[in-house]
Amino acid sequence: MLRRGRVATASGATGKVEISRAAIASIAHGALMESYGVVGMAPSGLRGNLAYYLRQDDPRRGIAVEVSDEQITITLSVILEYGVRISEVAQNVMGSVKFAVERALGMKVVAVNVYVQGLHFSDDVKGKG
Amino acid sequence: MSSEPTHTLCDGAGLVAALDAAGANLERHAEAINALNVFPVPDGDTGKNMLLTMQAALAAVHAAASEGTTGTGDLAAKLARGAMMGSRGNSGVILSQILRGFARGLGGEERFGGLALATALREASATAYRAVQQPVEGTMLTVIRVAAEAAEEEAARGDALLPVLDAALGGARAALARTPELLARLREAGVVDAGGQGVVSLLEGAALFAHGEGLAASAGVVAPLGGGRELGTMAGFLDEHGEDEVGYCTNVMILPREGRPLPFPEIRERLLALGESGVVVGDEEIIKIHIHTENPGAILSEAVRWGELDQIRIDNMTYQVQAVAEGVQGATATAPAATMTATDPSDGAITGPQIVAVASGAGLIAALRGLGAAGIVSGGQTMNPSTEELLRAVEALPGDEVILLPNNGNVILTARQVVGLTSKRVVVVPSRSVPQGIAALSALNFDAALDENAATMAEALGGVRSAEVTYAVRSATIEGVAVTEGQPIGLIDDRLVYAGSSVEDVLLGLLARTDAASAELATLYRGADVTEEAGRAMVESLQVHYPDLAIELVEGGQPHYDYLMSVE
Repeated sequence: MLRRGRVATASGATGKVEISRAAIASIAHGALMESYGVVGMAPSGLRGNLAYYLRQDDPRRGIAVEVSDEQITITLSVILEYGVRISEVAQNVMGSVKFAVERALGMKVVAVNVYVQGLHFSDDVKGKG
Repeated sequence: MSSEPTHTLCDGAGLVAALDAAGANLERHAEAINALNVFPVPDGDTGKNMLLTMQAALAAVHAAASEGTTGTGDLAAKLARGAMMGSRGNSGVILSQILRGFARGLGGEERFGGLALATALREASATAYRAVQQPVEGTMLTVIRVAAEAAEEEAARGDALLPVLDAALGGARAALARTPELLARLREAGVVDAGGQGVVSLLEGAALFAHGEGLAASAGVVAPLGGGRELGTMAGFLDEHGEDEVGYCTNVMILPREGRPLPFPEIRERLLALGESGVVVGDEEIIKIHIHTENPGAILSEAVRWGELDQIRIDNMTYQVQAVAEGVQGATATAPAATMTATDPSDGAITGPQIVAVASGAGLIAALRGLGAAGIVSGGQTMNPSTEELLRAVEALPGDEVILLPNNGNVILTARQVVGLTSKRVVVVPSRSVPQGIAALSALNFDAALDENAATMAEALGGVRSAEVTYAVRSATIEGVAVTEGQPIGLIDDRLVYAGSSVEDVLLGLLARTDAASAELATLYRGADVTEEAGRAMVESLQVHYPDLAIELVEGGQPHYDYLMSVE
């Protein structure tokens, strides 16, 4: 039986595999880097039990992973480029992160929550999100 | 003004017409672009998403033009705004950034020449790249960047508009051809990038128009495409858009009525016979018609026999200029109401939550209705409904509590958006397939509270494995499973797991992978292309392998998928 909330497990005929939340976060991070419209990550903020704080320079910053009963929930705190349609980008992010994690792990991602923590204004536009 | 010796400057009317031509050419290629999608199931999106985005952008441009906006800079700003608001899917978001950069690069000028065009394309490329942390080369980003580079190189030689536009198109085509070298997944699937093809199609349309009519000519939407020099690959386009400009330019969209798939080839043939210069594109779930006729009524009468009509636009080509602007504006005001069919329970006594479910296929819809789904939104694998369509269905039902069954992995997130957009209490039960949705509905208790129902329904989903049998649309290797075009393939919970020698082989492969030996019941929903006899024969032969499993056959009527199967 897996310890709730710590690792994801998949049992096979010859043993079991445990995958840490940090590993899952790394996979999500890879997908996020190529997600169109996302230009940065933000600290997770106060999201109750979901909060999973990381150092400023950690590539998994802004990514919280919760594992429960072999089901993975991922919460992302992102900064988007100003001028994109936020709802559409958020949906695309959900889809690509879910796809990447499920493909890599063969486990179910039940939810990807996206919190848009800020907008980034490109150099040529004054102001900072 | 096409009599001017060289097309040195493009004015507002020329820009509008060139953009229209770009959009029309994208529309013509949308189906082919959909077919470039790498995942080998009939899951067409990129062409449709780019087209919907472009159409929203064009509608904004026409609205501005009809209110008297004439400057190219101002019109481009409207274009960018419309694209942003209407962007759909990943490719649509990228296109909206390209158009946003284009508008910014153009600045506030009344007219522009070749140098400014190159600058605008450069800014389009830069803006598109800025919105992603790790740009992937071999995509539409590469195509717009190389197009911009080629345009700038040409603009350094002179400010003439046409050579710069041609150079941009040449660069885009060359970059598109190289996309498989840059991206392994394209190479593996044997295709060029779908979004990149979309960018090329847009530039091709604009270039075709520029060569045909001259950029300064103010003109109508799609009609004035003939009469020009042919551009390489555009021969087919010219064939279908001839020079006849009499009568009415009739545009209409047909959507399935009550989820019945549209017999596209037959509809196409009948409609093309009724007019000139006809372009009829689409599939079983949406058909767009553009046709020139003396009698638009006949087109509409024929079209309405087959399905619900939407975005009807009829322009008298004699009065093109005014009619175009007003027509487009009118069309955008009548958004896609017809894609939704919602019925209200006639007894009027509302107890417990109402159900809105997404499905296509007459049998599946009937099954959902039979279990109490009052609102059905047509959609599924090849045409995901929008948030707005789901919202309308929710709002159309009586009662304050609604349970939404998306019935498709790609629709779950859209469905969740509805929750915050309505004053009703909405809960999404994340069903990933129609069989899952049916399992969830079976657990519905109209006397129970909303949350309690949502919880039991979500639990019911978990006990059902859903599998699908369809055909690969091209040869590819996905997640280690090699498939060849036309081969029957099997998916479990949206993942490709098996490619077989026959549909029966695939079903057996799927059953073996769903622990069917220990399951009690398998339900087969036969698709629109499978007869009842064939379905019965299939059940019998499966039964030989699984004598203890109860196998039920249900008429699903879904397009594309021969069988949907639930195992529980």
